[in-house]
Amino acid sequence: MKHAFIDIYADLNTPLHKLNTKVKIISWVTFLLLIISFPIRYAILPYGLVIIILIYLSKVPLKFIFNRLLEMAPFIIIIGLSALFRKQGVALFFNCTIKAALAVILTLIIFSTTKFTQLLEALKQFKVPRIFIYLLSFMYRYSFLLEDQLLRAKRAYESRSINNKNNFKKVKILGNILGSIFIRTYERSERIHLAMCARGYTDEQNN
Amino acid sequence: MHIPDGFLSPTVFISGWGAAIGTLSFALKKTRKILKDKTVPLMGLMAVFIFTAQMLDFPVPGGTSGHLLGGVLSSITLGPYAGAIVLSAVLIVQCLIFQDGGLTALGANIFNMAAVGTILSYYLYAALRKLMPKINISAAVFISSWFSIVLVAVFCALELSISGTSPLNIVLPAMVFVHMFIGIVEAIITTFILSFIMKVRPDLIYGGKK
Repeated sequence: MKHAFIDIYADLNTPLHKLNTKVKIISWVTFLLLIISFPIRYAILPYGLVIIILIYLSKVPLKFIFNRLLEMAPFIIIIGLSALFRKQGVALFFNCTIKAALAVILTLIIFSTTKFTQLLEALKQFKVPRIFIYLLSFMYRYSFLLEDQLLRAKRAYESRSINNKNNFKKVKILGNILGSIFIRTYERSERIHLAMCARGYTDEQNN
Repeated sequence: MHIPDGFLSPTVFISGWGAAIGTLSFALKKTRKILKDKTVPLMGLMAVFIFTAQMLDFPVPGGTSGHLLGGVLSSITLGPYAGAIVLSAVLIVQCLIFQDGGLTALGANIFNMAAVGTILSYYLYAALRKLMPKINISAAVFISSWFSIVLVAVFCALELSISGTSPLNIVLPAMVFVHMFIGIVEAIITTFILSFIMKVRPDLIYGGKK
């Protein structure tokens, strides 16, 4: 499993990494609200400066930040384009898109410097209902596994079909592959669940 | 479909959070009874599945790309309220880890995709099955999946327009047009996956064999 899209830079040693997660989350929310509350022409300088400092402190590579911005850019820009049709549309366009970009960078920094397990612990202390913590941790643990299975299934399909131009058939096969992976993964989780119960796990923890 | 930060006015995003918290509290209350049985690992699995599936995007006419929602898929297997909880968890992870959708907009996004796209769409499916008992199950799945996407787009457009970001007469037709195509892909994939599951393990469908 070469892929890891969570906790890529969470192991670095910076002041941001060492900062208490709850403090980080509260600061993040506050700063985010500040960013979107003021028209960007006033806000860009001070907030931009703080974000640059945070980027520097976090030691997260610029390329990573840039790639994430690139991924989100189409959505941000396309919705922003609709703003151009408003009165003073150009100002509104820049207002919205720059705020969105700053928010993306800020969120990226905050959560790249936090281990997922620390995030879950902080959410638990914020009294987020247990079922969400459970679902988040499940996603953390098993999404790599599922991605592996999907890649393997894709390779298996590609090595068995040549020049399959029939799109309807392709989609049907895709649906069957996804369905069978779903069921196999469910049966695996059933086995895990039984194994846990056999070792004393009780379901009361999960409501 | 995931609205980023900065596009919604405070009135809209605060109402969005109110709606999201209201929906989720209600959903939690409704699922409290069933959380003790095998539904919980199934919910976890659904979350992983939908999370992974939402990473696959496909190009659509209109320039952007669309991706799957999974609202009808999760609500038909888990029930509407558990399905909504799963969708919300996926949206939370996407917001925090992938910055897909902003935090302030997360409330509105959760309301759009978990309340409208999952719960409402489930009841659309149920209504289709009840009012037209002769209807093919797959057809009902197809129609409600398609509607789930289009309805999400409608609410998105309404929220952007009420915020003053986009004029309604531009954003509503634009979003609905693009999402009609996304809806077809969602409908096809959901229908095929669910028909497979219904054949092989009908016990995984909410309410037993439906």
